[in-house]
Amino acid sequence: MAEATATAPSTEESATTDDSGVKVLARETLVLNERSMGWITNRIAGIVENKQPAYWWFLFIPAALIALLGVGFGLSYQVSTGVGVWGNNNTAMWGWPIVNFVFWIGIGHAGTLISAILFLTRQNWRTSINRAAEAMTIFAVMCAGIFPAFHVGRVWFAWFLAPVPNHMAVWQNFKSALLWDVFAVSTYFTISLIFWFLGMVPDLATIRDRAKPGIRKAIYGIFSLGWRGGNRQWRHYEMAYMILAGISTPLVLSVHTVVSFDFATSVVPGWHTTIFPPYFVAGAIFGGFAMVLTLMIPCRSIYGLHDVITMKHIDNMAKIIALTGTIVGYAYLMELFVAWYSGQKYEFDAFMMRLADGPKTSSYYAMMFCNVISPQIFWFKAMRQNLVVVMIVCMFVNVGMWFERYVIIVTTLPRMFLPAEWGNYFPSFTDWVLFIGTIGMFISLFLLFLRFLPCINIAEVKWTRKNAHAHKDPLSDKVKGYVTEEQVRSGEVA
Amino acid sequence: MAHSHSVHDLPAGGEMLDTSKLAGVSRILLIVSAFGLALSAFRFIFDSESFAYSWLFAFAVVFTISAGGVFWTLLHHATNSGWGIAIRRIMEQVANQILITGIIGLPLMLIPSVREALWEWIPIFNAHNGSQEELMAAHQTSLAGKHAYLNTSVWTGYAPGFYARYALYFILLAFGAWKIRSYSLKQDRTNAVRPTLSARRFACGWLPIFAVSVTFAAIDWLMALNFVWYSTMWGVYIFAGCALSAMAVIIITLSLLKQAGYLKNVVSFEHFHTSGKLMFAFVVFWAYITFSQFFLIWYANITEETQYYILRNTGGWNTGAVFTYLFAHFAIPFLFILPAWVKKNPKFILPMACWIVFAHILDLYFVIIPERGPSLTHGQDLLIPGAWIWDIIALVTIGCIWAFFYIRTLGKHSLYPCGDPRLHESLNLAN
Amino acid sequence: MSNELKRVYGYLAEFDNPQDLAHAAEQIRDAGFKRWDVHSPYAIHGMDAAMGLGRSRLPWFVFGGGVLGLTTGFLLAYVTQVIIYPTVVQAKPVNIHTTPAFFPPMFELTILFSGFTTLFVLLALMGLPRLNHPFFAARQAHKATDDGLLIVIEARDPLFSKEETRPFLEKLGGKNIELVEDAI
Repeated sequence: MAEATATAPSTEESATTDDSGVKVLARETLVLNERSMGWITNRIAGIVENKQPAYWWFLFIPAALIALLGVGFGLSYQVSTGVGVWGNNNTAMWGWPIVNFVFWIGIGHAGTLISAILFLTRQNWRTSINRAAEAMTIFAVMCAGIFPAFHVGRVWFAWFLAPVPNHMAVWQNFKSALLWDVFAVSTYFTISLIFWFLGMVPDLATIRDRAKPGIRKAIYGIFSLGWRGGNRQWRHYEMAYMILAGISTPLVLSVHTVVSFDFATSVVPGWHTTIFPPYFVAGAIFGGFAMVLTLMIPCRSIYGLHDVITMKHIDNMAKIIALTGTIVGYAYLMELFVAWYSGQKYEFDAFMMRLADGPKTSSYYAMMFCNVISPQIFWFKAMRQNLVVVMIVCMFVNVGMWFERYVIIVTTLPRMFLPAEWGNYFPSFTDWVLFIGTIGMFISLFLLFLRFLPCINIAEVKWTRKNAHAHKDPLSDKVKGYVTEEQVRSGEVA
Repeated sequence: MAHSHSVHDLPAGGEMLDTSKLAGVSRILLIVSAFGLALSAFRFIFDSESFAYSWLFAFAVVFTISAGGVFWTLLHHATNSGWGIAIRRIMEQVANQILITGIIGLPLMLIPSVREALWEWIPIFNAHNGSQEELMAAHQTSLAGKHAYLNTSVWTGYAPGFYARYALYFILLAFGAWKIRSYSLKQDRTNAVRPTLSARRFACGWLPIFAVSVTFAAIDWLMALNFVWYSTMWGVYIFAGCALSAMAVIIITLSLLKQAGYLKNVVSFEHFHTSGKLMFAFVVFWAYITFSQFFLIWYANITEETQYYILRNTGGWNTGAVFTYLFAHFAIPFLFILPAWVKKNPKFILPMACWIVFAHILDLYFVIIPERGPSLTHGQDLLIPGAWIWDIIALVTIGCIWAFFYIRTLGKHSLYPCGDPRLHESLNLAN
Repeated sequence: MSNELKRVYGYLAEFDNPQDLAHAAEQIRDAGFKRWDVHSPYAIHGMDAAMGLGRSRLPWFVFGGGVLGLTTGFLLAYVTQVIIYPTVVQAKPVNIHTTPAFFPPMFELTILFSGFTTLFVLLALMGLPRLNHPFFAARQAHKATDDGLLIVIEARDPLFSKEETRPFLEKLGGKNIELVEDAI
């Protein structure tokens, strides 16, 4: 081989005597152009320190206005008038609010997946996107929380949901899926916040150390807890990070499982099916990943992060979208198959209503197309490498995952057992205002995050650099027989 | 840690299993299987119906393990993994046991008294000449509705029939297992890199086929033991058992090989740690799936669905089910595999992997055998007296046949993919 | 420089790359130093072994926290639903057999308690938060969160000597060696 001029010590000497001819396939690097640690610090901390580009203001001002009007005005109107302003009616007693709740909660799941599950499976490429994805989790859960909190009507009694002794001596019903939601969502929010904050401590310290003495240094100083990067801290820190990843993984599964229990523990045809828990979890990760890409692709080009968020990252995320989209497709088809196989008339009819002769059948096909068919384009590498295609598919998925919840709720409830109770559902103006308001709130919170906090995990990106550890990476030096995938594709190497 | 392990330090051509040293073991396996087959034939002659369940149970055990092997091999390639190259040949060999498994299961499909004892829908279906109208007229509405699926014709009009599907699953799984290993074997000889890329592409394409095959195999052979009952989670549930038990068998194999002095510079404690973590993950995943399935059916309390759990909660099955599902399959492995030092040590993880296989066998026992009593006695009795001995005999017989061929296959090729371009990376695994 | 009193915190040295840093750490460990630390902008894999540090004790605390959470979850649900205010709903019995319905809150509280235990025990083990530390008196302290790979040997270490520790660090390949002095 041309590149057999080895630099690795000792092992190469024996290799010269025994030429087994085995080649060594290289891995793609995660930080391009051999960027130094200083470059990484500068580029990422710079986003927080420098003036924001015009794009930021163009996005932030409308988003903040929408949030203010939508969430602020919408909720004031709703609380002062009553929940009757929602489109829910006697047959469709659940409507957009729960659709939006499940939609936003689902968005959050990708954040935990990236930070926890990909951490446990040692997918180092997660380091460039995990911080933003975790922030997305927090904001999405905040958006989600609005709906169940305000659906109680008299929101000042929302504390009834919490198991605290009260003057009525009545306790919550622990057998109710809605109480499980309270536990699941609040635990999820708390643990995600801890995970996000702990992960940020070393980076906050970086910004603290770069700031001039003053209020800025003081604030970042307080939040960085006096971090000084000693290995005697790192060793506990790394362990804590691993434990949090370990407990977040079953947590993220449990949250959407509990959300799916809201539906699946009932006896409503179309809701009561055993595949709901894993199907909801896969769907949540699917939708969340699409949202991560939707946010990160513009972010990457606006802030010039191409060397840290490479095409390899986008490629991997597109593959995960294709995988989870296919899993969701499996669940859709399995539901259909078993609805038919079961021989249960109501079960099968529930699906026939969705497919053919119920209300809003088009939403079922929209869901199928967006969630199952559109991601299949990612089987082709050229499509995964084309940012326009990736963005379009992600938009489809964002819409499709909203439609999935819409289908589950709004095509099912108006067609329950008795034809006499059949009806239809239409969202009210307030439903629209609140939903659009949460989108504005989500975007403005995310922009504020970009403005004030390090949007990429500086410490962990440094961690993934070549030869960043006590022992040399096995593939860092061009050892004997070193080849790249490109060389193989071009036919240079067999 | 294995820091300076280079792929160039390893002998060219890999490492072969010395089958001559295992000749004694193989002979014992052969004798036990022959003896077991004779006993099974004896039981078959006297009580073919009861024995049908024993055979299905033992067949399901080896099928799930082999199918799990197919899964791990495909997954390893599809995810472009590097960590497990050193142990991937073992996964491939477990996967390639799928063919022999298909042959072991043939009596279930071919012998009329056996299949009719197992799948009650077959005699009903045959009694009405396989006609949907006749089934409907005889008030077999549930079966009439499933006519396009639970059907013994070669082609039901919409899908392959029951027997054709049996063949199809094994053809698809065995081809996938064979093809994916052939890429790797080619690299053993030529050291070419391209097969790695081809195998990745093939694995991505074959994973959906694997998923569909295992799901419908699980529905056909296990869920349809009671053709009225259904659960959308069923395929995922059986798959979780496949992945878990296969990883346990891979760990057992590695641990025994390692203790016999093989794979000295190839497999390190890091590989045991990683595969132990995957086994642990599937302990939890299995528990999650199993609990969710039980929970939703228990909570909604609909008659058609609860029959599955009511049967397994009646009489003595109750204690066994609690022991199996709560302790044997979850609490014990969870607590004992959780610490890192257990996973890292081949001597400690070996008993835990054996325990997992045992728990998996119990799991399948509870899927299949409770159906036997009520089916064969038309709901009169819960159990067939003394039949459990024959379940064990069937399991030992099929287990020995499987193990005999497994050792034989292991001896045919290098114990690790010695020409893989990512082997270097795997040798230096650190996590 | 004013006449204010200063206290020597220790010697700080910078190293070129993680491999040299780990090598130096091994030497310092073998020389028998106890009060010293390696400061780096990210967690270096293999540094715990190089410094002779064992595994963190954190998991044991978290396990305890998790068990406490599980117990709390079960008791909270069981005591309120079965003992003090039996609630007969959803066709579920009011006895121990209703436990599966309590699994979600039990699980969530297990995770919640484990998470809080992780956070607070971690802070205790790291000795954080604190408002200041003599380490920050070093002119090069900011490198620890940017691109510096530093070793600090503290003056509190019995083997520390103002004269000998400096050449020792130099011999190990330390650059930009600095005597860190903290204002009292």
